[in-house]
Amino acid sequence: MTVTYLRLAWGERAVLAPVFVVLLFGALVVAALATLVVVLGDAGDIGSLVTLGSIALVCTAVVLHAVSRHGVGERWATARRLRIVGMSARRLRMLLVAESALLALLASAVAVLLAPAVVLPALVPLLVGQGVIPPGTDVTWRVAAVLATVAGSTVVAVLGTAGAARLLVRGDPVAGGPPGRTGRSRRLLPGVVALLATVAGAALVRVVARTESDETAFLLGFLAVLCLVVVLGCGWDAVVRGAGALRGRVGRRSRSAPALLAARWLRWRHPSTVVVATSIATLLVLYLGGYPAASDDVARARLLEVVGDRWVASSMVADGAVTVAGARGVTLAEGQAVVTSSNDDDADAVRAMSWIALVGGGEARSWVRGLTDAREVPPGPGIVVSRLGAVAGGATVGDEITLGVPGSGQVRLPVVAVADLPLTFGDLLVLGADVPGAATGRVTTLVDRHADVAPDAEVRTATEWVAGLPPGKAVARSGGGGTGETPLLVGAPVLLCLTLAAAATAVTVAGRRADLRVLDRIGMTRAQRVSAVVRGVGVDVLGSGLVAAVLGSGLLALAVRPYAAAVGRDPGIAWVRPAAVLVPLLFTAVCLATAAAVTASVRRGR
Amino acid sequence: MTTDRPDLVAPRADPTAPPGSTALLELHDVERSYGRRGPVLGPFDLAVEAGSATALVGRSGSGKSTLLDCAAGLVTVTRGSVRFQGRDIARLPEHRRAALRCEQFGFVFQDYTLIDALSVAENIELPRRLVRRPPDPRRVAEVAHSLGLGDLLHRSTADLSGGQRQRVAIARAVASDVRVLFADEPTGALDPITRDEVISVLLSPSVRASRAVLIATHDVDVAARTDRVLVIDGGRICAELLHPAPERVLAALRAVEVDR
Repeated sequence: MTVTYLRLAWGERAVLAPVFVVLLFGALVVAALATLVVVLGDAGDIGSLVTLGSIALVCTAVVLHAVSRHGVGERWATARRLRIVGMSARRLRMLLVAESALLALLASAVAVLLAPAVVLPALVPLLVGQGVIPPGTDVTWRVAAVLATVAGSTVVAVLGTAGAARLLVRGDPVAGGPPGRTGRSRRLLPGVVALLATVAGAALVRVVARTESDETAFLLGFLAVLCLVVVLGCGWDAVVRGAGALRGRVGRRSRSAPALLAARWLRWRHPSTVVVATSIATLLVLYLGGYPAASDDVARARLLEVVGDRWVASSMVADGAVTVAGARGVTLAEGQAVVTSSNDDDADAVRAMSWIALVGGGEARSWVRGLTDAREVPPGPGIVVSRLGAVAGGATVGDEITLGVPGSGQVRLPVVAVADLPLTFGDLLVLGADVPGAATGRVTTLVDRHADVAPDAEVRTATEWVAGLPPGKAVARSGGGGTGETPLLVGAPVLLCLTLAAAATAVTVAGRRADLRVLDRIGMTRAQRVSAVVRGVGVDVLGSGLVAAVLGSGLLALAVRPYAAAVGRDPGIAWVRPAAVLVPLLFTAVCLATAAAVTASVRRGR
Repeated sequence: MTTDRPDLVAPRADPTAPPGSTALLELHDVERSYGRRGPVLGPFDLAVEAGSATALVGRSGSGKSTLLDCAAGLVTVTRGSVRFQGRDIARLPEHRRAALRCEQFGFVFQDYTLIDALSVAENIELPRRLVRRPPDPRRVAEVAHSLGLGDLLHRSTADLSGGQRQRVAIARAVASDVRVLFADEPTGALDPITRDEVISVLLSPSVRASRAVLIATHDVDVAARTDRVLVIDGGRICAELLHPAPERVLAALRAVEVDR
């Protein structure tokens, strides 16, 4: 029977091939990540890798699970015949699960061979360049990584298949149609899940809209993104039906055969996996990639405001002989020190060096006053904290902060003002005081006249200086959170979800083979058949992508608002426009190309 | 439902086999409902004995296929019992019912119920493989040859004509020595000549020997070639005709239509 079943599975290769491709791709992701984690496991800080890996693994798990389910669901006709001639539900379920496990094992084996040979050599330089892993890391084949790849890929695929197989064999052999398309319980469950996700998402959005902490807003916003993914995945079917009904009432319905078929297929062969993939990718791109970009955008706009029409001179002072007092304009000398607030309870905690700016010059106090709500900045030395730091750390005017450099002594200063300023120059500004041993030698001077600048300094206008800041450096001297990894944060989910969407499209089109053959026989041209399929797929991908883009943009604007308020700007999400359009368009293009290719490849048969 | 028309035989209260005989398949007080709607089938009683051929006729949607599915254990009945050789298959667990379909029931449906990925020989021996019996190539070849499929054993069923595919389905049932053969519109998609060939095979003495054949059909000529015709309407057996001519079957159908 095993050989017979293998023959049978081979006959279903049009459905299984995309599933195998996705399994292989997922196993490659798991293999690459597992190898990196095992190799870098002893290196200590692998925070960025964990972040990237978590996102990639979640996306991969969703991909594998969804496509495994999809692949099983499309085989209901064969399953029905097998059950009629006497295969028990349990046995069919076990065979489907075994088949899935076998496919996953094969994919894992190929991935284990390909990952160290192809994927990692290409990936490691990129990760080194992004600062995710240290240079010179020797990434080679590891047993633990192989086991993780095989176990991870197989378990996820088997879980996905087991759930789908249970649905497939539920009920009588001849009862009903394809799983997931009929039955009250199948309509009820997504509805309940969508309702719960909507309630949770609305509650999260409400909190995000009210919070003043940029970190809280980002994290809760991310949870709201996950709720949105669930809502779109579960509720898209209802949206499509509702839109179709509305169009039928108020609009002119297309009479063409492809349009009619596309509408019917949308109803009966709804590729929900494609919708979920598009929603995940669009929302992750907009949110995870968008938040660092938006905060960078806001920070640059604020810098242009606070620098105004001054000139910006940058120079390096040798031997640490930095003096900020006495010069014209505003002098900001970069430094590093250990910062301890009087509010800190844990005196024994190990503290890292923070970036600070020693501020001086003839216009320093008036410049700082312009950054704060206070009418006057008290005379004498003091510390100006940013509102971002004040919200996060609880520092207020009057608190005392100790700045020190190991081996060079300490300085204890009061907080004299809270400034609406990004952390471009450092986590805090030290006004009218020196911190021994802190200065790095890099000095930035803001002056009204070009002539006031030292001869060896590099002078630029405010616009040029802001434009010349590397990504993330406007947000913080240490680089904006996640900004360096943004290309990976954005790229990994998109790549994974694109694979999912393409594979799901291929599977769902393969499931329409019978219809396509009939259409071929009754005289529908290949172009018309392709048109019918791509119309249905296009509505789903482009529609759900654009809805996700609109919802994601709104959520992003809300999440960025606390940061923008803290640096004294209105949130601007002008950058969203190209990303919001590009991601759904990219998905639409890939899915339509896949749909067209698979449709065209369906040959006439009996 | 009963009728006072002289050309119809009213169904017996319990249309079982003649007194003294042991029915192979007995359906008693069977009813099938979907959701909260009323029953789409039954309640009714039916008995089928070995060696008999029974046709179910009626309008589309009258319940012929559902009756067949209930009798074959493909659909669980909402009420009543379906007994095969004395065992109530409605009470059997799913895997036992599956095994029963495999070993005792054969299926010849309009959509052929064949697996196109397998060859003719593999389709014929599929039930044996399902119950983990070793394949019997000699028996497969013998049955295939008797049904005119001898040269097609290694061809994919996807490459066969409709009549050939139905013969493969019959061969599968015969090769498995099933006791009841269920045929749902087995000639629905066939031309008259192929239809006659398939029905001749299906109702041939060799196929009917020790087997019961239950056919759901629209074709009065096919129905007239069976021993007994049951007219179904609204999910119930309305009339029973024994060894009828095609004209009588047609008249019975028209009478039911008039009585609606």
